Amino acid sequence: MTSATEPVEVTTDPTYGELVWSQFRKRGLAMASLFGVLFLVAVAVYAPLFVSDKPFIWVTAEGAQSPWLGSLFDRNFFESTLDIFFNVLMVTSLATVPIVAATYWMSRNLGRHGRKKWRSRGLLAAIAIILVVFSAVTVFPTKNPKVVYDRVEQSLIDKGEEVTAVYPVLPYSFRKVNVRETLEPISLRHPLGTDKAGRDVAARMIYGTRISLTIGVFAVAIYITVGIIVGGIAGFYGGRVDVAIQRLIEIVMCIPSFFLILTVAAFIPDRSIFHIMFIIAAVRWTGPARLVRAEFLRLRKLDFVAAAEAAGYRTPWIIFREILPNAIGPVLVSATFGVASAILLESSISFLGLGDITVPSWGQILAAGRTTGNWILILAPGFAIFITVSLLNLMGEGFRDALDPKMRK
Amino acid sequence: MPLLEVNNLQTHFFTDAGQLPSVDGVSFTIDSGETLGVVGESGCGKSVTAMSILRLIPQPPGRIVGGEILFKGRDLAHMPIEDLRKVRGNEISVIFQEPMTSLNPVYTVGDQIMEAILLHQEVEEDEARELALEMLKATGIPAAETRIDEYPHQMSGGMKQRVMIAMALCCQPDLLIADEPTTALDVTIQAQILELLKELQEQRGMGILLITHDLGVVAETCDRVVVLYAGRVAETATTIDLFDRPTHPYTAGLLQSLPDRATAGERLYTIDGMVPSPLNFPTGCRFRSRCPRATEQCSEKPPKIDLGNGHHVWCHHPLSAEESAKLAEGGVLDE
Repeated sequence: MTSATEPVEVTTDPTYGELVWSQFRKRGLAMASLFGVLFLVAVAVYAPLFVSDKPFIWVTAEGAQSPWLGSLFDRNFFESTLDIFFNVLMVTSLATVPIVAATYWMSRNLGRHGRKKWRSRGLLAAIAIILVVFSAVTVFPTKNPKVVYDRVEQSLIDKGEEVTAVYPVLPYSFRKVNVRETLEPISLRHPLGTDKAGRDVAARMIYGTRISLTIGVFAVAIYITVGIIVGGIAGFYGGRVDVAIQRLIEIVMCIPSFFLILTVAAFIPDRSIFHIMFIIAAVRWTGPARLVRAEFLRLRKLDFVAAAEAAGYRTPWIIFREILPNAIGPVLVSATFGVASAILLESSISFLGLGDITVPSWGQILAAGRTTGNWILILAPGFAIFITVSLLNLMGEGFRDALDPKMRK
Repeated sequence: MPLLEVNNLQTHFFTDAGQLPSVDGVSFTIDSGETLGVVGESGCGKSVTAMSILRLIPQPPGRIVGGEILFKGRDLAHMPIEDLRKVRGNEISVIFQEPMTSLNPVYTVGDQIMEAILLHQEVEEDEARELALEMLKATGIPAAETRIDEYPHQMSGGMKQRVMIAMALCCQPDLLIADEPTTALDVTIQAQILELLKELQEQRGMGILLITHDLGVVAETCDRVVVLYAGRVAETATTIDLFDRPTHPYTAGLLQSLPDRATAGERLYTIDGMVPSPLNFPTGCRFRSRCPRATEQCSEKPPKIDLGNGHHVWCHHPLSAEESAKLAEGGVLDE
């Protein structure tokens, strides 16, 4: 028992996010899977730190340089925009992570209003930095000449010159073909062996994290956005609009989605991962649309919507600012599960040979394993997919329980 | 020129069952600084009348099919919706019945008042917060500095209604429409809220349209009264005149139903039946299906009787002066 004279710890009222977070934190399994997911994200973002055939430091008689740094935004080396984007995330994290951490730390003793203000400012600043750097490297692309550093090093040593080169742990490019080392078994040089084209599997697995996570997150982001808009309109306007949208949703849901995906994928020449994302989104948007519609139908009748109308707000404001935040909880939970399911779906598409064959997604590695019969090529990506999907689902469950007031601990 | 002049307002609902004339030819005026009460039973068209003024009735099925709503000389019924939005919340504000659901649960009350200010006034965010705080203080919320950052669920019903009033008045409206603002509150809070509205009205000189089914509230707060029945005006008068000389049989029925009229142990007076559905309103006088004085004649349109001082009654068989006087003294009419 505490006596009345004892000083009471002053706590300011938690924001909604802090409430959910404090609930989430009490769930061990969910927290563990959150850290697992964060680890995967870190692997994706910091992949070049571990895997690159460009040396960090390259010292010859001509002087010292860092080919690794130069390669990060190099269109000749990282050909896909996706990799460039992740590299931007990696480089800017030097600034963004401290900024976000600092705003959280410094605002911790402020009132709720101040905390929210500073934290959203920190996040906005971080996003702005990322966007500015990303658009800069997109608008002014660098193209360095292709140099194969390990061969240059060898020839320089052969000539008797002094070379100091420091490579990442796995000094391979995920796409460089090496016909002399095809289907190598597991070794110290190649921790997961090599594939049919002599590419290091570990390197491909690590860069594959980028592909798989991106497909999961972006496909879900696309279909959640579509679902919110369509479901929101149906639920807000009701009547004939609702009937029309409901029938459309039912028609889409009637089509066996996996076969639709395979059919559409088969008709697209030069499929990129963005095609795959859009195909996944095209069949999955009905779920969130129905969730949002149901919530909107309920919320539409509440007085605060009428009050917003009476206050002179426009309809889009009422839909997105007044009603949507009240309806977003269940949608976000279903999004977490959706990411897992989209990753699985992409793997299936790639496994059947209908994915983007130019990227090292886990499904592609798996498909390669199927044709070569090399067990590590099947086991490694299979395990990665299993772990990722499990982590995301466990995290989603924790998130769902944390949002549910009846499950409060 | 009155602040608001409603002429022959007709708001009908178009449903599968047919056309429902929920409001059918209602007229009244409100001046600045004046409180007009609109009374009647549930379903008599009070709220539809109030919501029609800012065209807040759901459309479809509802539509204003006739009449005009002149606010400072501008017809709100036929104004483009863009212009009407500038009136909503800015020149005319609304307070709703249910304070529990009238505030958005995901935003702090301060944010909600600030947004309303930022929508209609050209001020900076910090200034808007100052104004919001000032408004909250004006509505008598204790510890407004901390309450401003609270969420609606942390407040009681009375507090929420104060916040609603702060939100409604933050843009200094000329007219406030209060749709049963105290119905959901308990009696002590009810008195406080009404007192607050009166006080703020005196400070700001705005007109108030008070929708209520409670004649007690009318007696305390209103300058003039409109008695509505089945979408039409039955009687209109100053509050004093209405209570001094109730003349329409429906007004008489409402007055006799007041609980304080019955002596202990006696059954309360009730008007038989309910307001008929708009689908089958009677022809002529709409009250005739429940009126104890109704005759054949009542199927004709009732005449407008002018009792002077703006006291009008629409009835074939109004109460005589003696009957009115008896009612005014707290008696009950013999049937």
